[in-house]
Amino acid sequence: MERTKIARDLSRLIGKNKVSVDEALLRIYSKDPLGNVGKALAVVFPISSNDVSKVVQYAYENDIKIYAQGSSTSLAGSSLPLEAGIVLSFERMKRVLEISLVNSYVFVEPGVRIDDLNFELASKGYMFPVDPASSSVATVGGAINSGAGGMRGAKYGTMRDWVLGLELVLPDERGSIVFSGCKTLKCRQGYDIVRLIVGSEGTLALVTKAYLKITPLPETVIVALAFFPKLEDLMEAVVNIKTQRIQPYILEFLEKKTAEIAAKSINSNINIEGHMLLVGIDVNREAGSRYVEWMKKILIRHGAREVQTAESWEEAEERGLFNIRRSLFVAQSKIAREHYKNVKDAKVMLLIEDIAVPPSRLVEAVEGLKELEKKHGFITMLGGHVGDGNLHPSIGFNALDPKESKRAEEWFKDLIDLAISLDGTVSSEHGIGLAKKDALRRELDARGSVKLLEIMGNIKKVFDPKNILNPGKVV
Amino acid sequence: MNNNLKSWLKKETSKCMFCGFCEALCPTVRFGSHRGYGPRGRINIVLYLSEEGKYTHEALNSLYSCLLCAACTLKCPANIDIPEVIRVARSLYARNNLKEKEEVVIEKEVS
Amino acid sequence: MRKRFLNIVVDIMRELTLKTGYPVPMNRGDIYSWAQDLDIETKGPIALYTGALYQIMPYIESLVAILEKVENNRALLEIMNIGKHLASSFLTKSLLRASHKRVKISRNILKAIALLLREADVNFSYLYKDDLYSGVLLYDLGLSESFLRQARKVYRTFKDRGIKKVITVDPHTTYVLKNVYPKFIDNFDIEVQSYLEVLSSRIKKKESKTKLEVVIHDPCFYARYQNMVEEPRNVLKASGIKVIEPKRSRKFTACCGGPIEALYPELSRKIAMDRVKELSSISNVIVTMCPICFSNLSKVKTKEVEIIDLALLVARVRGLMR
Repeated sequence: MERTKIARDLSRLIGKNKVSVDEALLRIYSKDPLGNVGKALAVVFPISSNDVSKVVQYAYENDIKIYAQGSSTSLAGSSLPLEAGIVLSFERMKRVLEISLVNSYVFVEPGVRIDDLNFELASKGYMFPVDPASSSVATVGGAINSGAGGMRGAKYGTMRDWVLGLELVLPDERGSIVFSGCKTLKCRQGYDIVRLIVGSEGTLALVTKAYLKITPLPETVIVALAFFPKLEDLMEAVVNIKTQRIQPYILEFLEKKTAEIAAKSINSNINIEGHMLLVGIDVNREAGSRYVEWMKKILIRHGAREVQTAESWEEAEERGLFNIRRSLFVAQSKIAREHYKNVKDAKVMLLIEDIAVPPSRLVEAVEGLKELEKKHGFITMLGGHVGDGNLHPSIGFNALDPKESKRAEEWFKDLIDLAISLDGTVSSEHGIGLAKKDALRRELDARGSVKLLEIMGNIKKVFDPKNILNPGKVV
Repeated sequence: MNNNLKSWLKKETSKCMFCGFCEALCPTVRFGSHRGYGPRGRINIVLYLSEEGKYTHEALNSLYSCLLCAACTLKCPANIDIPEVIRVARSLYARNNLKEKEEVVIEKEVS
Repeated sequence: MRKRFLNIVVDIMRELTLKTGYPVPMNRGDIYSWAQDLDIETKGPIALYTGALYQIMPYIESLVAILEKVENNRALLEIMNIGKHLASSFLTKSLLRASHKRVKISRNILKAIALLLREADVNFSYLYKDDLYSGVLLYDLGLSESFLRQARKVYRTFKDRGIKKVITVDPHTTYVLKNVYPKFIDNFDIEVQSYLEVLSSRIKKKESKTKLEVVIHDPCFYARYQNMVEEPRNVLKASGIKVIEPKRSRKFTACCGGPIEALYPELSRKIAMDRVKELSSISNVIVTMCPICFSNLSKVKTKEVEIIDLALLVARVRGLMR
């Protein structure tokens, strides 16, 4: 259908200032971090569930695709308008509607940024613990739909553990508005639709409001930063920590070379004497020094060379103990850029991967990744949430060089095989989107479970009979 | 000369990886009506303009609503000089649409 | 509509700068009237150069008040467009009147700066009628050619008067002279220092009787563009004033929204309100050091909140001004 007609119709339905078909604007709502350029026909900025419902009715009637977007930071291509269609951007629905400490929930619109939500909660001593690296811009709606996780995943899990109930707009004739789940922590409402929607990447229904669980902020967190010359030793330390009747707040790993590059990128004066392990344990303030000593002992006993500790989160911040881990993304892009500095017309792309293996198999995973680095010749940056076995190996390549793009593809394929062979999974917290459809099939195939894809396909049809929501993604 | 400016803009804006981290600190995107009011939007609109895109209504809003406050540069992993991109893009627009003459030497503009 | 509005507003500022030397219609006398009874030397190699931004801001405020009305009023917009050709007289007399109170604040701030420099035994002269506008707004708007013409004029004036060094008073003028003029003007050889840099190393310590606590608002063009964050704090602390940091401070400071007040008044206002809310949650006294920040934050502040320029506050605390 013609762009101007869509604009006219939608303007009439929900208001002129909520619809744009401006060509320049459409361009930015058509892009994603993977370098894809899709085809937004119009971008719509609903401010209420009713707006969303009206747009859905219209799209249903006229067979137009709808692509929901939060802040478009998905690394799986989840929010790309692959075929011509309407981009539904939730950025204006960003209210925190209710914070209830007694009920342990927060009631929000999908466009609120995770950090903004946490800023409000922190003033009351609470938090929403799912913290993807993009939390400063990532929206709640996007996190729900991508099934996001983060650094605190080993202790607090991912989005599927924190969503109590969802208001949904269904892609049917009436754009039905329904509520799935409960306001209570316990909820047995037949089949668990809420958990089906979490991680469905906007392919089944549109999330217009959410009840999320919240939890108290820890009194404080003690922090230890350690470097291990031997990878096996580091992993042994992790195993040991994980069997000591504590559940670390964070347990982060950076491979030696990656840590060196990251430290260099921020001019850190911390000695990188091997692979880096960052441990945080939430404790009562009075217990801080006891835990620090105890943790230090464990780390040193397992062969850690340099160990730095802090008795509180504030002290750790002040001494910059998180800085190397936090600079990972900047370092990744810096390394890639520098590598192609002298290549004319290079379009440097980062491939940030997201596999997970059972933590007991992390040593094999890291060694396997090093072999892949040798085999394909990419500098591989490697870090991850070692507490839950989630690794984010990444490579940089020149997307304008067909040979390199091909090699990157092969690296990716091998990586997927590695994850599968180690009883792992191909996507831990980024989603399937466009990028991992084939990988998902291979994972299920390896488990003799391809049948599940058929079931997923049928679920999609039940929710979205006309295939208007984010077509071509996930299944 | 326009072409030199354009190719500089294209080179600089092509570095954007679309991560969106810049949007966290941008004052205008928080209160503006869409992502065009944020650094990621601006950079990608300038990229679009440098590839012969049209100076649409929203493209101009994007360019001229920037405060040049440079908060975004604290977060950009690609190290793009975002305010300078915006200023140069305005300069290009002014040359073609605001009767601004072209005497200024290119090196001075983007050195 | 937006495109036309943009083109006209930008065009007015350029035309006025090129014709009158200032981006808004005003009398040249308004630029140096602040120095009236200070008896500052007219000659000397080190000159105080205000770049006129403090003096211009009250007029910009009035202009913005008009623009807020014409933004959605086509007829008035076109009248302004015609008006600009009649340049200053038409606009000044018929439309633009700066508030007397506001003009006085700017005068006092500049006076305070001069008195503080004097107190610190800094020798300096003043340019009076040659205290030209730097053209920074034209630069920001991408009007490079017009900016260059203005910059040449300023530089020629400096050279004609034998000036070797200028002391600047606001972050935008400081930045454009220090970092941009050398790019645009061949062999630019004037040393540039902000009065805060000068004072930071020379101001004498003075204990204050009153326990004054203020929250500081760093301007983007000092904190981020010139990495100048300690200097203003040194000057405040040396005067016995306690500085409290807001959440967004130093190089992570948040913009006041001022730079887009003419083109996007509504958006600019929202940004200012957000910043005032953040700052006033820390202290009811907000210290600024940029005329644009002062204007834009003052516009949206509540009655209980006081916004005061650093120079004026320090001069008062040190008993140099009332």
